[in-house]
Amino acid sequence: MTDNYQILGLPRNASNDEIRRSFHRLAKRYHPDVNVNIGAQTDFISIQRAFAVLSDHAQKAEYDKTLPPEIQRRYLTTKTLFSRPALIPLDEPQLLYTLLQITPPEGGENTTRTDINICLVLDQSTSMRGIRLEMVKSSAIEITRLLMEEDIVSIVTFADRANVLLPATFKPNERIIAAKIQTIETNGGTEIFQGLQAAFGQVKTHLSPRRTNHIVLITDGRTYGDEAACLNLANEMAELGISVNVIGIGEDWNDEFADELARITGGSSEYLSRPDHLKQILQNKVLHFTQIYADDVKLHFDSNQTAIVRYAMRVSPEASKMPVDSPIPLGSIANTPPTTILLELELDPIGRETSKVDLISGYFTGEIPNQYPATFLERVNISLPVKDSTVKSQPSPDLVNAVSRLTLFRMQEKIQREIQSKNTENAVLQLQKLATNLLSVAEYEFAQEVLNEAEHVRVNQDFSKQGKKQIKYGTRALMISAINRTTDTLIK
Amino acid sequence: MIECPQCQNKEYLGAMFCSECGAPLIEDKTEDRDSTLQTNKISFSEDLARDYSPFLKPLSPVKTDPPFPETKESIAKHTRVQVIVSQSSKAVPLADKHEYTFGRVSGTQPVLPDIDLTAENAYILGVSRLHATIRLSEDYVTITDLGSANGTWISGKVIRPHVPHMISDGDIIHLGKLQLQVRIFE
Repeated sequence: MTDNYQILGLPRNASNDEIRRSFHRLAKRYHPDVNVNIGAQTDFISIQRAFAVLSDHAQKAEYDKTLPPEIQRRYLTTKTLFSRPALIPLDEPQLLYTLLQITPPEGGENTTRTDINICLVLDQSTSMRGIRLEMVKSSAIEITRLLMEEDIVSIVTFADRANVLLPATFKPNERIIAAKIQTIETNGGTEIFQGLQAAFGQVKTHLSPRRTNHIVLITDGRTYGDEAACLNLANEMAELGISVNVIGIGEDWNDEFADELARITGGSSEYLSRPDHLKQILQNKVLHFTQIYADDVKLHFDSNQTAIVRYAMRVSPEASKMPVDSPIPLGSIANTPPTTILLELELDPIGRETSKVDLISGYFTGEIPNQYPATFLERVNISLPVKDSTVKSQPSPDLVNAVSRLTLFRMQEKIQREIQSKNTENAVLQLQKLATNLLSVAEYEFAQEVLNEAEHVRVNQDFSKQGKKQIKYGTRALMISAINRTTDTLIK
Repeated sequence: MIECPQCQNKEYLGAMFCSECGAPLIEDKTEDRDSTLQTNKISFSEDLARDYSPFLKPLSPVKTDPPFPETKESIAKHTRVQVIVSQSSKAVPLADKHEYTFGRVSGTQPVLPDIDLTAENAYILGVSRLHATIRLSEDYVTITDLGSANGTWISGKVIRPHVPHMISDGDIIHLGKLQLQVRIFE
């Protein structure tokens, strides 16, 4: 028997505010005006009923009396590693690094395939002509083989305008999809907003707590003037739990924009210098979607604390810079690999009388598509003691590695800024420093590339066409290799 | 605030790597790190350099002559550039490559220097694992400090890291406290 709290995914001690927010979030997704899914209406009605009871003070009190004792459920397991075992009293700010590893609870791992609601958004602008479009077509056809009958699929193509090639539907016969994909031809410019808007229209009509929702955008071009509109749209998608995953081919697409789209929605962005690996990347992505345990996971935290998140980076399963404000969209969590994020926290001055500092106090929200009710809220509280005597201890090699790679990624960010503000001399110097650091972690070829780029910047006062992306996504990729080795060493 | 030993950049307490140059700021007792010299105050401002006379004294007879493995003439034929480690008078010919990295080998280090100075007490003398590179081109020879922990000096002047500096015959080079002399035969 599911009680009203479970329907709204809340613990019994949820505040009025939390009850209201959860209701709004769910109502938006399953409102029958938007959602054409079978079952959406009954979902919506039960959400409405639960809210009617819990939002009324008297009714809630009555209802609470009828409930059996609450069974404490775990939805996620969070393990943490700190750069120091304790903080010290100090009259100036201090830094702390922490690795958070988030996995399904022990014994609660996902055992069945997760159904998906996916929209492919394919760039058909003129620049895609030839090998690029052919690779996109064959990859798109290939991944339809990974889809199952319960999946919802839609395909949108776009150039100057968007065209819904395949309206959202339960997975049709593969040959029908292939025939449609084969008709795509190139023409016109790259208006990403048109494509995303059409995709949003397809995906949002089929939101269901039993599926995860994804848009995969494949493009090779730069969109002009509609970035802000795209990001607004991405915010709307994020609210509904739709992830946007961008695969950029070649040198001309706007990487900052793609990263931002992914960051807002908890998706991913990827750079392909040549289209050869597209098929594999796309397959891995779809496979990952079907193995999701919890989707649309967000970390909400109280930001009026003494600890400020200065930098947040998802290290695994896909490296991605995260926003530092609450809520942080973590995207999806699968059985394996675990989701790991690295946080740099800046702490306010700590007085001698303080014995403990709350680093993160808040809660996770998300959806577990293979459970009913799918939505959940789990509180999280991470704190560290304050000790006067500095305990000498070695931080875990995993953490040191992750922070070391993060330093490289941030050096790269600094180089981008220097070049943007035309301080090319500084940029060259920074590139050389980056190269030296890369050498010390045995990235010979990459170091050489960076040195070549330094020379290019010195001569031309700007990045080479591919250099900027190579360095950015190259340093980002190092993040993953840093943590990949050992993740069992994390302590609880 | 803590200071980066390599570039003097200031960071908040708790920082693990210098945001400016990427140098590690955490104490790593695994001995694998570069030994930061206790006499770190030898940051070679001109005045300090003068006070630090033993360091600058053109070390006791720098042997530019044998013991070389070959006669001077034959070396001149094959080897344009030699580096002589002052304390042991060991001569290192730089012959068949255009670029030589100097440093020391320790533990699990992934990149090995071309010229390993471990046997010359490099660790104690503050030589980094990858300390400096000497490049030989047609017309000149340059040295580039690779952002080493204790710096590289040409004739008592610290050089800016990552920027190639010309060196000429007879120059005294310090990698940390390890003294080398360069011989260039035309």
